[in-house]
Amino acid sequence: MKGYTVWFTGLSGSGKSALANRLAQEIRKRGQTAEVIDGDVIRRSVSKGLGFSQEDRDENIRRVGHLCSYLTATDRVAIAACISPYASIRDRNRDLIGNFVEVYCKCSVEECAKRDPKGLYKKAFAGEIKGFTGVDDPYEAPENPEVMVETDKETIDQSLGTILAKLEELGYLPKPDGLTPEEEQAVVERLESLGYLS
Amino acid sequence: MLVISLDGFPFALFQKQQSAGIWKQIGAAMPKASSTAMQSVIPTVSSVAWSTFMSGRNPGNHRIYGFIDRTLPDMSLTLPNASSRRGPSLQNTLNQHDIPVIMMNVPVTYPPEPINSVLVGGFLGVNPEKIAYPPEVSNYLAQNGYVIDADTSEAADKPFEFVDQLTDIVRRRCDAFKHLLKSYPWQYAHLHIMETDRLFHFLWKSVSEFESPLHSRIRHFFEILDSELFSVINSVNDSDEIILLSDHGFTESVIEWDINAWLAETGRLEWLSGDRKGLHRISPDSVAYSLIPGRIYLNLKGREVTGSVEPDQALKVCADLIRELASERLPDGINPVFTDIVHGSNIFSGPYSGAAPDLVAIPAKGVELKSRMDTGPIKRAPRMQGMHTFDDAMVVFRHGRFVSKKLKIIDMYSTILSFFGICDKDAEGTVIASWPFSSGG
Repeated sequence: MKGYTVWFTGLSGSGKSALANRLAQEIRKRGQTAEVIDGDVIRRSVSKGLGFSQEDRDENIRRVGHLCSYLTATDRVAIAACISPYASIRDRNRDLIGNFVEVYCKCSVEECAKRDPKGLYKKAFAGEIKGFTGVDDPYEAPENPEVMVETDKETIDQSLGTILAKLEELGYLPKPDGLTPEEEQAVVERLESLGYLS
Repeated sequence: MLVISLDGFPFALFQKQQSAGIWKQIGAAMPKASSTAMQSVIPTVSSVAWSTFMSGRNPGNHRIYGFIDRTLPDMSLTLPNASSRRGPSLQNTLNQHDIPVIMMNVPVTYPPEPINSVLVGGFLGVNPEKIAYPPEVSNYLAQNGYVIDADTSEAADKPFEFVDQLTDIVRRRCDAFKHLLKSYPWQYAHLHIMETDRLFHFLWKSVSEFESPLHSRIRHFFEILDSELFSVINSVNDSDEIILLSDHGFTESVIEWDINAWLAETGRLEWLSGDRKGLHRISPDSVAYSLIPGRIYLNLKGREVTGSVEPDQALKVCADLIRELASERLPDGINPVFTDIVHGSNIFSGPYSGAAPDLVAIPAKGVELKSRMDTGPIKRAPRMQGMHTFDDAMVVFRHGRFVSKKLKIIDMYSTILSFFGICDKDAEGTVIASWPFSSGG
């Protein structure tokens, strides 16, 4: 298999991590090695000490890009789930990685604030956090992502289905089958004997 | 939690057999059990029913509409298996909450995916070397005479031997399952018995008629099944919840009714000549075609490669089909062939609803729907003795109490998760039981 990166971008609370983890499961079911690189985890480890200025945010995303680049070059699937608010650094990562599938998790600020799984919007609206993406710091939505999922309108299953279909279409993900011609013939005979075929 | 599923076991038969003294040991192991009938799925086949059980979602979400399906636009036939199944599964959701799972022989789990802890694939598993995850379990099963599925090739000609074969498979399956329970971690364990479905398909009349010469041999099969399952139940704690369930009911097959033959006779379907059977031989002039059981598809322009029906005519074509099919009668000239013909869009929703049939014909009791991919008669004598029913699946809880009166197999996913204190808010089913003690397995 060839390695590739699926890069989830979107506001905090837009469903990136949940989708990334579900996608990793589906990809593994089809025999590929997938690793999830979650922005929150990276902030606590590889990027510990970085702040939220544009410069620090870009540096954080640059580091995630290098991790993805390494995994992709070694024929694995990197799944990044980071807000990654600025288009320029996302584009630089696209150039660096090559096999890059951008997934835009579109979700309104109002819906994200309603979900607010980490309680961050509440603090941002109260002025306790400054420079919060979508509140008082910009989010530059991708202009031409490979996939856009509207997570405030779709179920997670619908969004996942859209992403899987695109990965199949792009040739990154094998279509499910898993049977050799001999096994398929055995299945046909089995179904025929039970009257389940026609 | 231990789940034991008996494929195709009707609730009415379970009650009748209990009255006749079968299921004594199970009864003793579950003295305060609650039991009731449960509705299956449409189409009523095991692959759809178990995919729905595992996901708590309709086929528009899990993408399993039958044992056979077609790919678009080229109309090639596919045989869906676990790799084709989409969306969450019970085993994945439980694993995500750090609950180890042992699952054996549940349909549409082959090829087995890596899980925490053991998955032995079920129907239509064909390769013993790849039947289980982790692979060491495949080796163990092969060395201990585990049988994936019964050989039904001589079921009708040698029924006594067939019943003995099923009895032997049940013993081997239960032995293997008990070994897994002892050897691997689990908090949720699920054993599926396929042999009941096989018995009912081929020998239903002898199951339901006590005076049949085969009946005592069949009774022996059920007594062994009772004893083996009791032995499985004995290997778990008294406080563990046990669920005994089936995925659909069974009844006598009275007649086979072929929808493709009817479409051909009414001028809606024409087969081109050729050696290999398949939907690729549909004439471009055809209006509709069908796949077993009761799935009807328009030959839609822009969707099917041979498409002839203009999209703006689709609703009218469907309305004509519904009206004419609804007027079809059984050979008695009185009773209808179908209880209903429904639009796929009314019962299937989700990201894979595009693969759904345009119409689903729901047969009257005793009418086995066929969709042969060749010319032939509409009505035939049935090849099998038994056929599936929608209404009479069953469910039994050892400790749980029903909180709903109308039970459906799609509810089992949310219900089992709720036992472990887990909620999947996107699931379609509802929680149908509560437990008199705190959840957590």
